[in-house]
Amino acid sequence: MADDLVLDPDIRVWVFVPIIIITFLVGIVRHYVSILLSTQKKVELLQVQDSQAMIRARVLRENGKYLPEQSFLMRRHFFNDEDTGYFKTQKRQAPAQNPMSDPNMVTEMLKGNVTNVLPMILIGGWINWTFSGFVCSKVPFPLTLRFKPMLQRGVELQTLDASWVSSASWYFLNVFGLRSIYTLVLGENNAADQSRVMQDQMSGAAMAMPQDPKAAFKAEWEALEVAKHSWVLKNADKKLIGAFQPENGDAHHQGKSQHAKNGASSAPSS
Amino acid sequence: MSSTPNNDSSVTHQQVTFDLRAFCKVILHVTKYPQNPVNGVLLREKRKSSEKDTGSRKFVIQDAIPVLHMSKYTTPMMEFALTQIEQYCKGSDMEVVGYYQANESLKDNQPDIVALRISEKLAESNPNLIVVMVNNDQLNSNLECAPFALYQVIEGKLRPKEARINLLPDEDGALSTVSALIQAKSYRQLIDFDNHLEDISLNYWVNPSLNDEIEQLSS
Amino acid sequence: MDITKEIGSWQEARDRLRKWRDENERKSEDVVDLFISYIGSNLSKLGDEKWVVMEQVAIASMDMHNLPIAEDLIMELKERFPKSERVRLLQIQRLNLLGRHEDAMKGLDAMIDRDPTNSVPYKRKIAILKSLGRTTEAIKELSEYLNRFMSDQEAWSELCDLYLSEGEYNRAVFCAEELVLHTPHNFFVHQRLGDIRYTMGGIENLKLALSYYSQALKLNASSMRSIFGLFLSASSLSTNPRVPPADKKEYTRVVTWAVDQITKRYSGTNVLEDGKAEMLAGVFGALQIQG
Repeated sequence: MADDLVLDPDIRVWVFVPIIIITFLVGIVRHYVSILLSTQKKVELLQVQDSQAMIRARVLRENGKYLPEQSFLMRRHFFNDEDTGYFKTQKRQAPAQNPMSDPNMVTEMLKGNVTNVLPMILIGGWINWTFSGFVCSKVPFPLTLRFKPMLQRGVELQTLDASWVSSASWYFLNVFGLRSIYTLVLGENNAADQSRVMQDQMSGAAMAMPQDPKAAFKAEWEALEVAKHSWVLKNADKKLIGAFQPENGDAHHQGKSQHAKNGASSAPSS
Repeated sequence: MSSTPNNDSSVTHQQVTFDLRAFCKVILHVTKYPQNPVNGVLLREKRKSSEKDTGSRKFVIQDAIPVLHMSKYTTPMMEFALTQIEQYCKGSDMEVVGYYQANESLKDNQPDIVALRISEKLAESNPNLIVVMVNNDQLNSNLECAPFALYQVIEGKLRPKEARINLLPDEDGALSTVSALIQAKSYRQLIDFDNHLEDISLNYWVNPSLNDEIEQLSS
Repeated sequence: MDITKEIGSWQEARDRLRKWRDENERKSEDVVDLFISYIGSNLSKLGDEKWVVMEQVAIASMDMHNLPIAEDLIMELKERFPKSERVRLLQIQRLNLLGRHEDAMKGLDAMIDRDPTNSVPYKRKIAILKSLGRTTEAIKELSEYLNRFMSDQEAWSELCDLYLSEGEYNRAVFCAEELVLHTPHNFFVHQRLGDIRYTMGGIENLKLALSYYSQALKLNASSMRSIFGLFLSASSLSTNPRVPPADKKEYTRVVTWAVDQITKRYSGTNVLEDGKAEMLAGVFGALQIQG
């Protein structure tokens, strides 16, 4: 019986299509409202500093081998020294355990909720109230009866196939489905985009700092401590002219660098 | 460098004359790189053995070889260039008689440690070396006079040299030629040692196409 | 190379300006010419793009010391975006042009107070100090900046140049090394270190220079600067009396290799034609004797 159900064409004109339009327009309005409301995420100076420090520590680990030993040690000392090292002396707060106690987080959450969740609930409810009492469309795949109460609000028919859904469900489907259309419409080089461009943009190459600088520092400190340095340019000239013989060259230099390592690591110079 | 002693020490250089070619090349080098410090050497033909030893040989700077517009404060490229230029001079009967430099910023026209270092080196074989500092703030596309300040190496320092600056063929002619060259953007054709390093087929010693251009615009 | 001969319509001009914006090309003379010839009278037709265009032309006209154009544009931009930091930067640039450097720097200090994470005002301030010849102050400010933004390569490069101009070679080396850490596969950073080490002189530095030039050549075999640098370093070492004979032999081999390379490259050209070989031979001879 469910397969033979035919919907009044009026539903198409007065419900199906309007819901699409409403969702779309609300989405656009939401977009502009969020632009108006958004304070540029104010990155703190310390965050920028830390993220840059982390980058530098990382490249030191990865590419320090291109520098002579002394240069590497000097920089590792800058980061890791017990008394003066960056990772040891820069105290950072551990992130607040309870999100509610951090005022910034709270404002962010509030704003996120206001712009996203609130309109969805409000309009969803309004649609549910306005367009109630009938089914709006049929989803193309079969659903179990468990979905009936959720998707068929307002239509109390026990025998109706669960695939027939109410307008509220159609609305929510639109909200999620139209996202890609938004990127098409709002992402191109149009008025909305241009005026956003004129507003001040954040600079400072701040990458998203992990929420817990203390832990990040500790991890990087350890990674640097265990990093071994071996200068790869040692015999670069010989290798260049094709005259490098590992046996002769290495033995001679290995002795020297070993000695240098022992001397340097126990008494790091600044 | 050269083994023949410089016989012009008896002639007091109360005036220093720039041939059109030399003058234009210096100005064009500076104009080509307005944001950079530039430098180069000044040349003239070696005295021929057939000429009399004494006697007034007018001191004319006949040509210029532009050298650097990058890496002013490091030495290897300048060293190599100077040696190469010296050898070129040997092969073409020229000699280095001067050094020119233009600093990076508009207001800073004083000879600096780089000028001193290079001048001292060049003065080892030519004590009468003329050092030319370009006055950046006098430069524009319509020059009114030669924007140069002259110096000499005296007892390890660069001291101002009192001398009149002459331009060949005559002051107006030279100034209008160089202005015409600037308008025509001929500085784009100038090749210095740094350009040569990017493409060694470029002749920075002679700058033949620029020489032609100067010829053309001066007539 | 008159740009107005190339461009025929305001639409073309607009497209060209857009291209330069996207590719970050300054081209100030051309931008101003295009503005005067095409864009100025057609600004309203550009829609919302006109604001970025105005910014671009304002910067270009200040580069060309054309204050009237700049001032008009800045005024309009200020009306439209009264609180914009970008417009503020234009105003500060104008102050610079008028010679009001102290005011400009005060303005930049205020911008830094408002947003200490924005690197642009710091750098502008340092650029002003540099142009005024206040190198020591510029170095101090730049060092402080780098204590915060320690991965900013442009800043490290600039500090390297500043130290070089003051003859502080060790510190310049430190800065140049930072660049190696960030872009070790760029031959230029190794070559630069080679240049600095060579300039510092002495056996240890020359050895380091040799390694850096070698690495630069490994990454870019066609770099003439590196091959000349390699030759100079190796030749200095091979003739230095304090270098042990075994090492001297090694260095001489490098010299020979370099001479060979250089000669090959020059013979691939016809610069100086006949005089070439003799000139090169003379150069090599002269530089090897000096040591």
